[in-house]
Amino acid sequence: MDFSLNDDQRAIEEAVGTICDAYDDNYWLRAENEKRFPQEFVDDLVKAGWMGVTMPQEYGGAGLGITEAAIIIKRISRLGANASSAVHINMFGPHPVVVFGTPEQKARFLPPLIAGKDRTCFGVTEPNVGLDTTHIKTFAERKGDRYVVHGSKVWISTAQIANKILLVTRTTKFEDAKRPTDGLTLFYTDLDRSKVTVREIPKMGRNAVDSNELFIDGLEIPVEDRIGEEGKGFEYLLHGLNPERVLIAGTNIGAGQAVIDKAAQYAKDRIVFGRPIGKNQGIQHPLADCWIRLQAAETMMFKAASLYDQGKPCGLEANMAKYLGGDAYFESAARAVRTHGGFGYAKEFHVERYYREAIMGLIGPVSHELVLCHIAERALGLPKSY
Amino acid sequence: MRFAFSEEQEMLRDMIHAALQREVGLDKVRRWVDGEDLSPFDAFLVRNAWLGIGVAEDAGGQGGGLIEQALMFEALGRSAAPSGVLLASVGTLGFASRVPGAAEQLRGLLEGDATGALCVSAGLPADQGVSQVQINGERLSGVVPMVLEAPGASHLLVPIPADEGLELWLLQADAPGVEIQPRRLIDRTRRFGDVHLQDAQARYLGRLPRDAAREVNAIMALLIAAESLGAARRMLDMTVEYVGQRVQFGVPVGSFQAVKHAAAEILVDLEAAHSGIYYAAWALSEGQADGVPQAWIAKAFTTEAAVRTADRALMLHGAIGYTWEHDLQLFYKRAKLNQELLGSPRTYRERLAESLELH
Repeated sequence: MDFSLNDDQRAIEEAVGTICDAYDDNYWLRAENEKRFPQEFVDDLVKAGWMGVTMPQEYGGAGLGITEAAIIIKRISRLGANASSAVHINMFGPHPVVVFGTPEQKARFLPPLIAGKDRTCFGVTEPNVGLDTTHIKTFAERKGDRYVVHGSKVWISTAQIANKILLVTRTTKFEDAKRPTDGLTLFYTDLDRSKVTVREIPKMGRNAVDSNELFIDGLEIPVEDRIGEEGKGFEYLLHGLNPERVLIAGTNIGAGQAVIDKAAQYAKDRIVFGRPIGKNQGIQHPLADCWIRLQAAETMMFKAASLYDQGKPCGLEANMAKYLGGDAYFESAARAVRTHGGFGYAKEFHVERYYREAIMGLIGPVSHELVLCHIAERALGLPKSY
Repeated sequence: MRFAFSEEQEMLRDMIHAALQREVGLDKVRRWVDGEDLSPFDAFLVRNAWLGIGVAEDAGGQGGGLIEQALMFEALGRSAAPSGVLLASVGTLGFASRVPGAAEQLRGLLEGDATGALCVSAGLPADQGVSQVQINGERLSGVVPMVLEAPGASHLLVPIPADEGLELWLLQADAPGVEIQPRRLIDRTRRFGDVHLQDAQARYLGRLPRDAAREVNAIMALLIAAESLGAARRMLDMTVEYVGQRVQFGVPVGSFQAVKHAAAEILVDLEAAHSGIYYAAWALSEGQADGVPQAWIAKAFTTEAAVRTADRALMLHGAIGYTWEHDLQLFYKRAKLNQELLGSPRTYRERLAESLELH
């Protein structure tokens, strides 16, 4: 067993770090306040070739594993969710295209993504569906060589600027399907704004990257934009869940480590009662506690990533990493604000920005409660409870 | 609103404390426990007529109400005194006094001529009764495990569920067909035993309505909470004293924030428990509508807080707190047992949830 990063992995972390370091806290504060997409930052990552890290080399990618992807997203996430969400979907979202697309589709879709010319968004959940994915209502009706789609989607990040969408639909209604998981079909296609209305959702944090509700009214999709077979979409989605969870763990752990670093720095600098506040156990113990939890989450994340890269099952580990990472980040962000005292509440000390983002780690892309259900069923053999 | 004890209540509390300090030191408690004979404390209770505190004078008691009883139980918890007989007496008399004519039959309990045990399993609410006991004419059969103060009791009061209430049956412990097997639990300052009944002759006392049973159970729950509070306060005192004396790295360990904050958090817990207990005692004795649920809250919160206190007190004492020689164990075990006695915090939370009409 080897828990250390190899030379290549360290070099990747450093190279990504060099790009990240050019964008300081004030850049992200401005982007957040002005709700401005961090395009320069994304352009720099595109120019350096980072968008295609996990995509096959024959289409211009680097063909690296989830372990490397986790290292990259963790490093980017030190800058907060505005940074990670600005690139996450383009870097890793097209996973089903990579795995289940035809060579023709990959040649058509992947190079423009890697070059930053195409920008995609990912449409899975719907207003009345939540995590109960098989109950989606958005319907794609086959008409000759195309499908016509009607329905709605919610919580779709970057749909304001995306020109592509990875879209999950039903092609057989739930009640007509043999099994609940049958009849879902996946497309990667143009986001035709004449047929799709995109409405931004005002929200608590991560305001440089938009979240949206989509109303789809007669979107036409050519058959050649369908990914894989009709009706098998749920299976394709499942395939991407574990790597997604590993990477979400990485976003939470990276941000958590950054916010604890900020808190520790403040605790060293801030003098009260004639000494740095970090000399108080009441201050330093909670920070140490958060650090331990973040490290534990990171270890679990790398375990999950390593299993995935070896082609082994990693469902439990990926879910646990997401759970531990989300929890540790939430606690870390709250603790960082408290360490800063009143200043933690001021935007100029930056930790409040992380605090507002951290709650997402407990909610998305799967809630902590459902992770517990998964562990209860799959690790402990308990009956399904929902 | 004046939320304070009266002068009489304070005098009673001081009197109880003084008597316990004088006659029931921890050295004595240890001796009674080691010798497996708690009868000297039973005699102390009778001598001081404490079984009558909180019982109306015209019923042969000393007067006073639930607040006085709660003060007494807090003091008993504080001194790790073998309080089981008192609790059993509150339960038996509480049940009997709410059935016309039944209390007369148990009058000897207050004078020490008789000792009563409420024949229910100690880990469950008493107002559920014992459904596993069969009635055949006037004879009872069945097994009731872990009955508080059954060993040594002269009478057993058996509550058996019957149409929206409990039928009360009185047994003499030495009657044929009654067998009591003592059980040793973690806290040996209280006696427990399994009651085996085989066609044992019993006397029917009457039917106790459901609400009356609930009220008595709530009173018992509240007194257990008060006792846990007393035990926890004592553990906090012991801990504060210890961390002020124990020196590491050249300073008392109590000067470390990790230690003093932990102690401060215990105090916050216990003050919250104190307010809840005495409010519930007032509400129950004044017949307020929220009296019973308030007692459930006090039981769930306090017994859990006392266990938290016990765990932290043990941790702050380090290895010495883990030894038999150290007195902490007496209070630690009391807190652990009280958490389960008469029903766990979960049981009472579930009752509260039901009363909130959650679905």
